[in-house]
Amino acid sequence: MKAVFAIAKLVIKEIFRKKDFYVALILTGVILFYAASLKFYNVSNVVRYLMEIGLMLIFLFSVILTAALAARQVPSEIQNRTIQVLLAKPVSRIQFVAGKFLGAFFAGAMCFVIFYVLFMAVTRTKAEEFSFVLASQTFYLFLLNLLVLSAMACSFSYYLTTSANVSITLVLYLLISTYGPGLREASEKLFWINRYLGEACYYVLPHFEFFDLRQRFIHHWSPLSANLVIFLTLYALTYASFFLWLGWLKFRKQIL
Amino acid sequence: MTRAVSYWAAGALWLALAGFFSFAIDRQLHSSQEVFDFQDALFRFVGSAKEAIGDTLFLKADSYYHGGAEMHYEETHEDLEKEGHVEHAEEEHARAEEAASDWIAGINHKIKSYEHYHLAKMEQKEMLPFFALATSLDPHNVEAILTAAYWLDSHLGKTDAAIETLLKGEKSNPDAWEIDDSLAKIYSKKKDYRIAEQFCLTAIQKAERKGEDKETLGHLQASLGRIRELSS
Repeated sequence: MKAVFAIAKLVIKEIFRKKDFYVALILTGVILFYAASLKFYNVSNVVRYLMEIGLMLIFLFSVILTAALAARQVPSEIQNRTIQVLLAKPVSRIQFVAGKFLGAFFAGAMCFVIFYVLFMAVTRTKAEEFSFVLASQTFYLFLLNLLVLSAMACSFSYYLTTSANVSITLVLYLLISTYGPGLREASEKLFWINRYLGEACYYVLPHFEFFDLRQRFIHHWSPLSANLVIFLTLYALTYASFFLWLGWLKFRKQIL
Repeated sequence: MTRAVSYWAAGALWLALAGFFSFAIDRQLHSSQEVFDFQDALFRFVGSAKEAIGDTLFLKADSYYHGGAEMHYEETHEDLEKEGHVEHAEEEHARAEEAASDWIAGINHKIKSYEHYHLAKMEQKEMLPFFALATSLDPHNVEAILTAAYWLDSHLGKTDAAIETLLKGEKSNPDAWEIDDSLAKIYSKKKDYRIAEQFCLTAIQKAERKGEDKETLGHLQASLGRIRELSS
C-alpha cells in the first residue's frame, strides 16, 4: 500500500506543479466575481444564474484537468523511460496501476474541492437560502463522477497515446452526459446493427449524467434519498474497478 | 542640423497623418454605427450568432419558470398563473411509464426533476438575467421584449423598468404594434390616460398598416374605448 500511495503522491504533486490548474482557478474566479457583480433591473439577490455559471465552469475545468492528468501518466512514463526505473523497485504492476489511478483521482478531487470552495464563497454572498444537504450531495456525486472518469482515462492510457486518450475520454464523457438518457430511444429509430450498437452503448457505457445534480441544487428541489446515493456509489465503484481491471489486463504482460 | 530638422519634420508629418487617419476612422465608425453597431461589445464578441444565443436564453427563462425542467406542457392562462406544483396527471403518468421502461431511465427519472412546477412569487426574479440578456442580444425578438415587460410590471412591481424595456424595444422594432399596445396598457394601469391613448392610437395605426385581421383591430379599438372612458 505504501508503494501505491508513493506513486499517487507523485501524480498529485504534478498537477500543482503545472500552470493549468492555476489558469483555470483564476479564470473561474474572474468570471464568478464578474457574474456576481451584475445587476438586472436593479433587483438584488438574483442567484440561480450565478450558480448555473459557477457549477458549469467548475465541473468543466475539473473534468478537463482530471482527464488530461490521468491520460498523460503512462505514455509519459514510457516515453521518458522512467517506468523501467520505477518497476525495478519493489513495485508490482498492479500497484503501479492502482497508484496512478488514485493519484489522478485525488489530484482531480483536490482541484474540484478548491473550485467548489470558491464557488460556495461567491454564491453565499448573494443567496438568501441554501440547501446544505443538496450542496453536499452535488459535491459528493461529482466526486464519484471524477472517480469513474479518472479510472476510464487511466485505463485508456495503457492502450492509447495521450492526445487520443484525452480526445476520446472527453468526447465520450460529453456525449454520454448530454445524450445518455435519450440514447436508447434514439437507437430504436436506427436500422439493424446500428440499433444494437446504440442499445449496447446505452447499457454498457457509464452514465455520467447520474452524477450531475445541478438542476436539483440550483432550483431547490428535494435531496436524493440515501438509498439512491448508496446505489450511485456502488455504481461508480463498479465502473471504476472495471476500467482499472481493463487497464491492468493490458499492462500486466506489456513488454516495456 | 539639417538632419535634426528633417527628423522633427518627419515626426510632425507622421503625427499629422496619424491624427488624420484616426479622425477619418472615427467618422467612418460613427457614420456606419447604425449598420454595424460597433459600440456593442457583445456584437464584437459573438458576431451575428448573438440573436441565436438571445433566443436560447429566452427559452432558458421559460425553463427557469418551470424549475429548470426542459419540457413543454400545454398550459392555459389560468395554469400559467399558478405557483408551485401544477397538476398534470396525464403528462406525469406518461413520464412515470417512460421511467419504468428500464432501470437507467428509472434512475434518471429520480435524479432529474420531471414534476410540473412554477416559480413562487419570491423566486420569479430568477428569470430576470435571461430576459435582460435575451432582449439585449436579440433586440428584434418582440415576444421576449413583451414577456420581459409583462413579468417586470405584473409580477415584480418594476413598472418603470418595464416601460424602459418596451421603449427600447420600440426603437428596434418600429413596426411592432404589440409593443405600443403593451405600453398603452401599462400607462393605463398607471392612470396616465393621455399617454396611454397616444400609444393605443399608434398601435392601431401600426396594426392597420401591417394588415392585421379584424379581430385584432377590434380588440385594439375596444382598448382605446376603455382608455377614453376611464380618462373622461
